[in-house]
Amino acid sequence: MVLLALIFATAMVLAWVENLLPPLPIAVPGVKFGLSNIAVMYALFFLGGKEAFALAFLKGLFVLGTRGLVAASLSLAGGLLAVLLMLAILRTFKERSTYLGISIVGAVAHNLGQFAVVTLLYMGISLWFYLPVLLISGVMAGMLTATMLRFILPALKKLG
Amino acid sequence: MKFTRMTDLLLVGTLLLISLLSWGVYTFFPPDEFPQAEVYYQNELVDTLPLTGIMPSTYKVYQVPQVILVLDGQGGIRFGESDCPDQICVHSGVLSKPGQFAACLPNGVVVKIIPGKQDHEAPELILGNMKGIE
Repeated sequence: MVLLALIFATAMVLAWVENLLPPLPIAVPGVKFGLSNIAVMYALFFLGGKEAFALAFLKGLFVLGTRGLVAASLSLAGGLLAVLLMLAILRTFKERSTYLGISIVGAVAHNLGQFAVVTLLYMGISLWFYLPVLLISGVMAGMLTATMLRFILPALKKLG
Repeated sequence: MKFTRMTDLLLVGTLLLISLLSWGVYTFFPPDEFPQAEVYYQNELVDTLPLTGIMPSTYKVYQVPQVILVLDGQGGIRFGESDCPDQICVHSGVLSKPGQFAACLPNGVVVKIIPGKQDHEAPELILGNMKGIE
């Protein structure tokens, strides 16, 4: 529980750092690097599925308190779908899965989950037009978070 | 668990292929000559604006006058100004193709491009009504 709280705090700091960065020149709401996904991935790999889901839920609650209901819905949908698909890959492929592959799947799922909520909230806006942007930005974000996780992992492992 | 394997290339390749296909299919649709913009406030349609055959102008949603939409008169519309903190809407750029949208979530304004058609029949109907009145 203490470790989960520490990881949650790390996720919040990563989200804060990301907010300090200039906005991405992408005309799609909600597309970000998703640095806090590093914390979720760590929870998934080293604590378990329940803890990763709990972290995604806590992130959603935090966003609800700081940025309102719409932003919280986006965070929750993206976060939960990302954990669900990453867990499915991990359980299906076990040791054959890779940090990079899971990270990319998580980032793409995060984008799609968020966008699905946008389409539900706003009059069935078509996802079609933005699909290439969502997929490619997800691949790039996944590569970035996996690379960062690789460098941070030795330090994070000391927590466990 | 390894950091990466060759199978990751397959994953990335598949995702890029899907992106390329969906982009390709979309661009095969003929461009819409008379696109219109639907403006939503708090999830309710407040106006439908023609984007062609008009002079360059600005548009404000009555409830949130701090959000200013700019119509370029050449088939495009964009968020010109907003008081939202992240300015995502302003950075969204010009919208002109059906399916595109931009949102100012903090102010509850969404602009969505829909296909339009030149309404050749409308003036005739009006004329018909006028004749009827005469």
